[in-house]
Amino acid sequence: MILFARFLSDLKPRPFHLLATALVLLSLGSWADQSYNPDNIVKWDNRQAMSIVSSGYQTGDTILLIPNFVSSIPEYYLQPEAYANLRKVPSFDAHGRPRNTPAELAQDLERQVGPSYRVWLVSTWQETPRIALDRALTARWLVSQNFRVVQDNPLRKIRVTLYETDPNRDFFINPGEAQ
Amino acid sequence: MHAANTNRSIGIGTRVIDRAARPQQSGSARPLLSGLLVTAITLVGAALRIATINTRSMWLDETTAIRQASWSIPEMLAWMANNVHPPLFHTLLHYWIRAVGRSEVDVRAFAVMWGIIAIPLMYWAGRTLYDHRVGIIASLVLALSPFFIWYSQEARMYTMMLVFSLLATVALWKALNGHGRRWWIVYALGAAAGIMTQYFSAFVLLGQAYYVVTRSSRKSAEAHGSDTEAPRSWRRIVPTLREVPELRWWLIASAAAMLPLVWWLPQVLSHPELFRGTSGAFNYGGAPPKLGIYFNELILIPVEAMFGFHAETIMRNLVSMWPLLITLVFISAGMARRLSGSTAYLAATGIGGAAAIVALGQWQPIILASPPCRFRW
Repeated sequence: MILFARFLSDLKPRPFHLLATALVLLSLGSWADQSYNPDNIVKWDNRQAMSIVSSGYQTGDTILLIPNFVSSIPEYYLQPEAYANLRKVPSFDAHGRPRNTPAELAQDLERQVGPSYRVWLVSTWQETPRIALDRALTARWLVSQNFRVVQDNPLRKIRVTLYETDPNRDFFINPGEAQ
Repeated sequence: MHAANTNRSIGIGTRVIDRAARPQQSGSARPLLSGLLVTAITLVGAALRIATINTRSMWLDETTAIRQASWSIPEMLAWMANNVHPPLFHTLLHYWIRAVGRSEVDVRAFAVMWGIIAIPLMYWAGRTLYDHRVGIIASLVLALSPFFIWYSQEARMYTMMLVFSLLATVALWKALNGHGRRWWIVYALGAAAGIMTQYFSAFVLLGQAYYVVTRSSRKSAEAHGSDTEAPRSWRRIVPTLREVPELRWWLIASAAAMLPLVWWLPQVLSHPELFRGTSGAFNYGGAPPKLGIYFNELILIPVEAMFGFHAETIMRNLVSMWPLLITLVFISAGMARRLSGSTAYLAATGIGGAAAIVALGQWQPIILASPPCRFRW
């Protein structure tokens, strides 16, 4: 930046004034677009997504978060009661390997969703194919358990989907798997 | 008289010719005007940073920093040792959150503060290395730069790193040019704080090290009546240390700057998993992305540095202006035939560090994609 300033300072007055004016105008225009254009490539609608979950959350709801490493976002934005019912998908085995084969996911989701009849599926990082697949498998499992989509909010780089099923659905869990 | 104009110029590998002293356009003659201008630029920079501080959500790295800074200090330090960042920023953020709060604005205000401090510091750097006019232009560019405004508003350590890097850069230049030994202390403190804020600060120091060693060996060669710029062999190192006191002082100051690492690095090295280049998304079930130095990246990085971040279509259009960028590089290269000592120093600081990043990036490709790599521009 100092070298660039040095380059500018060595110019004759006319080109200097031209370049300096262009620089100031371009910078201010870029600043305005960067700040207010909602389609900015590095903007994430995390605040809006968490506000949807926060305002619609009811006691007993489960929040499934995909991928698991973004949990600091809901931890920051959600009320503690909602965050306590957040489950990260997928879980990891003892060797640190993600349990995300369809069978493993189904087994874990059974336990994570438990008796909840309302499930918030919060997914981000969907440009990563493996993470997008985890979301697809999770959504497919929810549908297979008679959950249906009642609200879908595809926001910028994050998506919040609310699933619901019959509040009186049967729920059994293998005692050996309950943790 | 100004140091930049009085000292002999020293090469950084190519033949360097002294630049004729530029008349001082500021300094003692117009201190009030300088002060007013820098204050006005700083206020404009502060306004741009504060006005849009809340126009975007927190993203993963910010909320992770807040989570870590919200823990107790021992808990946080234990975690940081197992993480990719040194602990200074998180430690200060910990106390900031306790004193100010943890809302989006509260937390980002910490980064904004460093971003604002950097503006007059940039003026000081430009004035010290060249003159008042360069200082004013450099601080104005920094104040208005959308890229730096973006990072000033992010609850991360990058603006803090910039402040310490600028401080170390100016202090080293002053120390090398006879402004008093206290500048070695300032250099050591700035360098230490920089490294403990972001490991990438080490690349700035590496570039400076290259400059100091080359300058010292040239001085030593001149003392022996030789015109050689580089030391002829490693056996010249000891005599050079004897003959060039500034090299000794630089070694002492650099060693002092590394002292915090003596405490910190053993904790980090006890976690070898950090060096496998796997974290976050890459731990998720996929291999780390195979990155390289792609043409698109080479163009994208300076475009981001100049224009900030925008919608995809705008970014694509900006990147498509690459022929213009390359033309500017050639024009600048043509103008750089005659390098002053200050220019050689800054070029070594910038290019030397960038070369080290590229070299390390071949070993750990993720280094090339990390934000501080972009931020160095």
